[in-house]
Amino acid sequence: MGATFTYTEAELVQGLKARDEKIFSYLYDHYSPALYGVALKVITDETTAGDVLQEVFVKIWRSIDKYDASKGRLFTWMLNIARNTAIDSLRSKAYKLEQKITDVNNHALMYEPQMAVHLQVDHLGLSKAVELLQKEQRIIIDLAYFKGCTQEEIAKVLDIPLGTVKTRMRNAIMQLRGLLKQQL
Amino acid sequence: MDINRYISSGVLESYVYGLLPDEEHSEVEAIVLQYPEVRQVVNNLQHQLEDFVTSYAVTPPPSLKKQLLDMIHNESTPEGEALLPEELRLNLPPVMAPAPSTLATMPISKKKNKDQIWKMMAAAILLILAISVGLNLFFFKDSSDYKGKYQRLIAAQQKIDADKSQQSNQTASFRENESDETLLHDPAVIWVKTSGYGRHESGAASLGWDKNSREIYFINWQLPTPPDNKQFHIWSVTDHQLQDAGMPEISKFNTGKLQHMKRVIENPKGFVITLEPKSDAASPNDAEIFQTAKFK
Repeated sequence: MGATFTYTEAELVQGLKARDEKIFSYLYDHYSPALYGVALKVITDETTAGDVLQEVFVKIWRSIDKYDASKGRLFTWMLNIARNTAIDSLRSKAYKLEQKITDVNNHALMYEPQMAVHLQVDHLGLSKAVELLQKEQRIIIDLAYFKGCTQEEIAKVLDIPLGTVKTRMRNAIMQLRGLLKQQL
Repeated sequence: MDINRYISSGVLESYVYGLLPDEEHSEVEAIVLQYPEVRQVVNNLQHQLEDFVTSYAVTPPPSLKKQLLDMIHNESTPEGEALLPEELRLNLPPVMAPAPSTLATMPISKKKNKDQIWKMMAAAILLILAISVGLNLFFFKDSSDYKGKYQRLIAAQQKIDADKSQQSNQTASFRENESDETLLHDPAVIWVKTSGYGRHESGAASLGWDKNSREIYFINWQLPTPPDNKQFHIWSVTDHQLQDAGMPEISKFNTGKLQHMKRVIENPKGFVITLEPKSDAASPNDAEIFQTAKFK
């Protein structure tokens, strides 16, 4: 992200464990846009996404002792919390498969080049890379990561065989990897 | 294990993007710890995911940060606890915890007996209802002659009542205003303005607590009129315990007017105002926190 970091992840973790509210404030300033972006992608409703973001940061504050650096970076851990909390909220609101299907239709519209909507703040110029993904591959990543669909659900929603979901998911991620490499 | 084959199988992509069921997820975690080359791939994929997600970053509304800092700053106090989302609270009992189901712990034979009693009672009620309907139909003809006279009497009575209440209302509201005015400036009454919870605006209501009478007073400023099936509910918070402080009337007619709520035994540390369904069967999750207030 654009801002200069003055703390390493290890220092942030140590500060959170020491209940340092300044560190928490710093963490919020630097990571809240990414985590809020995830919540918004999952839920779309700004008020609920705001509630989710608060819940995410309280979880980070209260569960920092459970963070295991051997499993990944702090940011990855926080992203997982944000995604899971947002998806739980989505499910608790009794969104059904039909809702996901509606979302797919809406997304399909958004991915038409002439209808492309730039909803995001583009820190790293990555949105272009993401937009270059084929429509089907982008939808599959969105459904899996942002809507928390299982492989079976994706197969049903997109009306494709289960085996195709896995290969398409892998291809999508590989293509995304290539596009990101070109951009960075 | 053929690690290269494992890496190219696509399982690691699905792991990082959260597509694996729990058991497979744990399997991958174990393999990641065991094989550095797998860990490297996962690490790269995580980096890639972070970049991907960052492209969707949106700055959240500025008000969220202050609320959040208040939450964590006060997290060790009951009021701070009350500000937290319910599932994240450590000490506070959930608002309106549903009564434990006695049926669930009842031995089967007892349950059967109880079922039978209910069945018999239901049958008896239905029988009484049928008789009542029959009698109603029977007496309906006789009563219709008296109906006209009765309605005229009711209309006359209502007119007298209306006249009376108009007279008494004028003096009562004056008296009420006079005593309420005193309460607003009474040093024995502590007044606080409520803070907004979540997206709700602050200062939607004022709450007062009378140290002498232990009565709670409530003034609505901006709380919206609830839908017919919902009601606002005031809870006082004392030492991790919630106490029912009553349900205020919210309408456009009593905005700014002082309402007398329940007495509380303990000194309140704070208050929570929730909007909840009127039904007893509603779950605690249906209660939405609108306002909170802290007593110093």
